Amino acid sequence: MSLRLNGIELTHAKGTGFEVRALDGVSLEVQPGQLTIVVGETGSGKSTLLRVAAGLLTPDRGSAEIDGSALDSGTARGAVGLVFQDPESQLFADTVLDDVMFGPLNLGQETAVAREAALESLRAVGLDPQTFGARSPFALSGGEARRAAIAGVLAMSPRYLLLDEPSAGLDYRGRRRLKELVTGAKAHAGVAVVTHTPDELLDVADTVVVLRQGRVAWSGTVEELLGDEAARQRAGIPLPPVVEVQRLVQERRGHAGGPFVLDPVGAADVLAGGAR
Amino acid sequence: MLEFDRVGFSYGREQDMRHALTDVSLSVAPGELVAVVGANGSGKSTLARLSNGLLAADSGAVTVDGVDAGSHAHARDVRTRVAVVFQRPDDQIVATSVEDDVAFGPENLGLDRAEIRRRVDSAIAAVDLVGLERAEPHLLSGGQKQRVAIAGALAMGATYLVLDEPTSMLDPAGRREVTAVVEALRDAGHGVLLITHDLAEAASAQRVMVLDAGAVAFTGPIDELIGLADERLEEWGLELPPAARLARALRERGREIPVGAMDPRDIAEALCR
Amino acid sequence: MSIPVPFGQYVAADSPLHRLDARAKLAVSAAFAVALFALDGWLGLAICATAVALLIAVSRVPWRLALRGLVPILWILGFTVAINALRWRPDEAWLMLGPVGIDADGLARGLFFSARIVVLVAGTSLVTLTTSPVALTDALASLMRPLGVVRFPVDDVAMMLSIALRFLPVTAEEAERLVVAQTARGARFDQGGLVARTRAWVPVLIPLFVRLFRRADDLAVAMEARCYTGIGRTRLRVSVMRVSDWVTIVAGVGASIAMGVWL
Repeated sequence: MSLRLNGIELTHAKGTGFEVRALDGVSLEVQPGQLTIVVGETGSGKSTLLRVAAGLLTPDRGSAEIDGSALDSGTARGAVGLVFQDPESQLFADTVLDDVMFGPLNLGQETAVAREAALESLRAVGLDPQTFGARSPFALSGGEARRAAIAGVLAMSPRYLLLDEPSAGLDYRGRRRLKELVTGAKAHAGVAVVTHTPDELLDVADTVVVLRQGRVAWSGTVEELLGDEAARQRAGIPLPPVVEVQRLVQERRGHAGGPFVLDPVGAADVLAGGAR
Repeated sequence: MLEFDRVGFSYGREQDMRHALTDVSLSVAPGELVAVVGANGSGKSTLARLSNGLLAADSGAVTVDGVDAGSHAHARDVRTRVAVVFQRPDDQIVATSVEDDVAFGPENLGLDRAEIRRRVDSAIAAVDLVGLERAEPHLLSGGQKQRVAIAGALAMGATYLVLDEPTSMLDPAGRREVTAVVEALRDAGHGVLLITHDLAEAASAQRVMVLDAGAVAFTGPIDELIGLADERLEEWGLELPPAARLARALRERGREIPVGAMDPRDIAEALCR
Repeated sequence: MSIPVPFGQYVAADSPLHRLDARAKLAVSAAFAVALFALDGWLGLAICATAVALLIAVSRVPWRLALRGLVPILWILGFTVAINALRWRPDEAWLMLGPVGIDADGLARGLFFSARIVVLVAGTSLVTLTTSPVALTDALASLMRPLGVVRFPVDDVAMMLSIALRFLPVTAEEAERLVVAQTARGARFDQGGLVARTRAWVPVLIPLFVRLFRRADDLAVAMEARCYTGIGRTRLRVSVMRVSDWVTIVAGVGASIAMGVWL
């Protein structure tokens, strides 16, 4: 039971002379209860990959499955939630509550049920329905609007949640809230986050997939990523600064050393041995 | 000198009034990089708009080389001394090619073609975009677009550059490009006021000012800011970059890591000495 | 996702037509259009068609792209022929198809009118095929200049056109992203009657317009920061009419007049 993409190939604008090969044999699996980080910069094919995973685009080659059935716009509808970059730009309704109810209503739920779902997801993202429910979505601050947009997707109770650069443009508080949200979402769904700054999520992630120019440059668990220096360098993934310090020290001191620690204080303990 | 002297500003009227800035003082000299940090909503962007007269201060004064920035009569003069670059690169680029957009400012100033050409070429070189003069903006990367915006600001002939969260919408590659350009401009003698919510970006600044709910919560060198307790930084909505936290934890364990060291290589080197 | 799709109809290439000043092309195509409608018979039309075909060849634009503009109007062509050729229960006809009769003269007329439309569209689209949108707006601004006498805001309008052009691809991308985002929330754009389908676009149009207004605000601030006042602007690049441009105008307009009068 998972969201599985296998050997996906997709070319945009075929036959026009402006073809772009967005995906060239990409495989990805999102498991329920797990967080997969997809690392990719602009031009890596990440947007296309997300659209395929949400059943919005049909690949030229390769297979896409959701919980054993073929993945298409019909089977993905309601089962795969997709949060785009700058999701706050998709808010449109008169009130925040109306906007969050949009998804559930589209899926055919009854108004009372949709309303309940909307209220619950507003609370899940930290927006008190009493305060925010009746407000116009255009009167929210950037961070609030983003959370409202995410609530709109969560309200559909998707089994798989895909987020594209969810922390872009957020300040420290916003990113911390988002991390809590993503970690919380893991309990109810399989989550995949596409980001070009994976560092802050590494300690709560299960698998990492590196996308480069339409291909998977590397994939595996976080431990494998931090442990296999050769593969990491081949994939060209920079280490988080805290880990980089540990690696450099190990290099200088000449021993292979133990597993790397992600947390700064823990890393200090390893490097300097206990607090004075 | 770009100078803010006890500046106050509010949005709205009477009951609705929102105090965006209260009693803020700050100065930037040519060749200096000064950072203003704070959480979203701390009043940072208002500061940007006050610097070149887009907004006029309610109290206190903003001056550029002695000229009152808030004065309508001097608006043009002020804007050829202070140029502002905003957060969203797309919403600043007006023309259909890089070159035409960089020329927009000089064209508005009514300069002659030879002078416009000279400024455009020089600005494009300063932001490292040579070769992309005829490129269409919507085909550029975020980092490139932002550099076009900076070039447009430079072409105004400005000594002072105010950059309002220039990298917050960019990917790491774009961030590196823009940061490199900003430091190069500082080295070339421009006075740069960098507004950001990311402490790591303030690393190479001469001075850092922290804004909290419109008031100045701290001014001083970045080393001093990093030395403060986590709780205080949290109050201000700021977070010490992980590398800096590691450095501090190492210091607490008796290792001599220079305060302000944020690059992994510097920290590793200090550890191994 | 920035895919370099050709903007509007412009096909970049290097040909004598591409190198002509946009104003010359606009002037000649205007005269050509007028002349086409002054033609009396097939001979004139044949000459015009040959001229257009030659120009397309010279322009180095692939035929497929050059004639692409005809596809949307095929129905107009068919309609024109039909309305001229067909008669309902006529007394006499060249050919009868049930109660509908085809009149020989009418058919000839209909075909002539259709052919003329084809030549007109193919000929005038050469302008947009060989002139970049920027050059076109600059040319329009230049041609509008005399209106400045009656206080028409020529520079402002030119700036507006130029900005609209600049943001067309961006806005198109944003609209597409909104459609995808709302589809991902279960919205359906292909169901129901006219009313339902129109309402389906509300979640796309509202955010798009809000975005556009906010962008307009930000852009205005950025332009003000760079001292835009609308007056007293000089230009980096000025397009100058060269001898070849003037020759083209004289030859093109002259030939059009000649054809209109004699053919």
